[in-house]
Amino acid sequence: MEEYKPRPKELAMEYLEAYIMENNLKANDKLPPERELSEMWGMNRITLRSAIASMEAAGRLYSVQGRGTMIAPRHTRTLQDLEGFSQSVSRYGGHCETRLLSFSTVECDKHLAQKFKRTLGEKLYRISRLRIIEKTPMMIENAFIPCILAPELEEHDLVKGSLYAILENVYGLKPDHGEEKTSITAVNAEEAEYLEIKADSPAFWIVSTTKDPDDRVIEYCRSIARIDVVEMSSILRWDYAGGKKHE
Amino acid sequence: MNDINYKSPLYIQLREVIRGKIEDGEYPIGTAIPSEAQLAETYNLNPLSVRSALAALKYEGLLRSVQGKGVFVNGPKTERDLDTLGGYRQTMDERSINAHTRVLIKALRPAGPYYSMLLDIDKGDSVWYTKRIDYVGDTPAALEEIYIPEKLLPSYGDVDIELFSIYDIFTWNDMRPTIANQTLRVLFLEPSKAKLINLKPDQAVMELSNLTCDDKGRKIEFARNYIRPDMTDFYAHYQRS
Repeated sequence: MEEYKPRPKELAMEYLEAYIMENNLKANDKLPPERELSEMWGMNRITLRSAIASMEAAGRLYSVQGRGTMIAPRHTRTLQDLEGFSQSVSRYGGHCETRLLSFSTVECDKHLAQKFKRTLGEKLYRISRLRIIEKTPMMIENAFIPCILAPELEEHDLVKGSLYAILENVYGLKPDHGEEKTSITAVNAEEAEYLEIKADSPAFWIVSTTKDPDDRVIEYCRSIARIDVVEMSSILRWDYAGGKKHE
Repeated sequence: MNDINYKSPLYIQLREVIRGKIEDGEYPIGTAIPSEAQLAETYNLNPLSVRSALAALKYEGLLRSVQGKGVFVNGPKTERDLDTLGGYRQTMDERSINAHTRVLIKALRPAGPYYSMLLDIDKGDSVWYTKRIDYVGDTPAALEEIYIPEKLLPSYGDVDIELFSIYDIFTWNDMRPTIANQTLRVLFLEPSKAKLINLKPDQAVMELSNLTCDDKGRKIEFARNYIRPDMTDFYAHYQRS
């Protein structure tokens, strides 16, 4: 069996990733100077520099003139938590801000009616919010909630309070389970401005449906998230209980 | 099969010889057995007898014939429609008729500082590194890079992974994948990698990485899958824990 020799740059990136992991470096933590790393690892500086450049291009690191190379901040959105954005951010100790972009009432069109299993023309709240962590805009969430399930939702503070907490505590709507589809979209000019990226840049396109324990759709949400600062995570489990055993 | 003796037809005797070699592991699961011509020569048999012996074993599902590649030892059937909970699923069905994979690299390499940490092994330990392209029909849909600790799967090098899934190989070796941590990112690939899946350098790609553990808590695989966004969406179901 042949032996695979990683290219020097590839190997340098592995050393950098290992260093970040081993030293538990967090967002905005600084890497030691290039010279120090190249001496420590007995590595060519040009190779190391090109590895750092690749990781910058991939959004893993960033450099500031005169300050060195830092770990790029990245918000991990965990699928199973079913916790709102604000909760998940505060759990990681970040400072999170929400801007209400719009709050309106719309009628179910054919598509929304199907999603909610409601009739055409039924009223929905449409809440558009911009999520910001440490001054970096991360994602735009466009949530739809049937007015009949949460009357006078506009009376509540959707900027400071968590939407899920309001739904649960005020209206007794428990988010219990749901499904989500993730794909890639290109942002339009307006979205680009809010997210502080270039128009037509690729972004996560996340469409989620959240249901209560009675399988009633309580929220349908379309989100757009920046790819350079957001990643999605999930835990996959295999269920052998139902499966047949084999010899 | 107890009453086979020297009077039994030669093709039946050969059939049992091959069966024995499969059971003893002389012909490991997932590998090709000697060709019909080689078997005929080794046992000084008529090629027709060899063909009959193999036909019976193929019928039993113990062997599997692959056009242009040879005859392979099949593993026990694994449960394909296994339920998985949570996690991302692709709409692109890797089991669809037209799906196939082409291996670019399958070799041992030192784990090094990073993969040793991810996979909980020593820096100097070897890992199987696999780089392959998944096709749907004629279209390259994804580029995969897979890292598996050699000591957990020493036989990996002998198995043809264009024919057998890595999941199958795990189960044959008594490893049951039970939990995987998945991360989904969108990024731009280096031109050399982007080219492999016909992606322009300015086109973004979905990266799904998986760190999989088995039922004994061992980290058995780290895989990075770069998927053309036009080939698939990711679906996930979740439940409040």
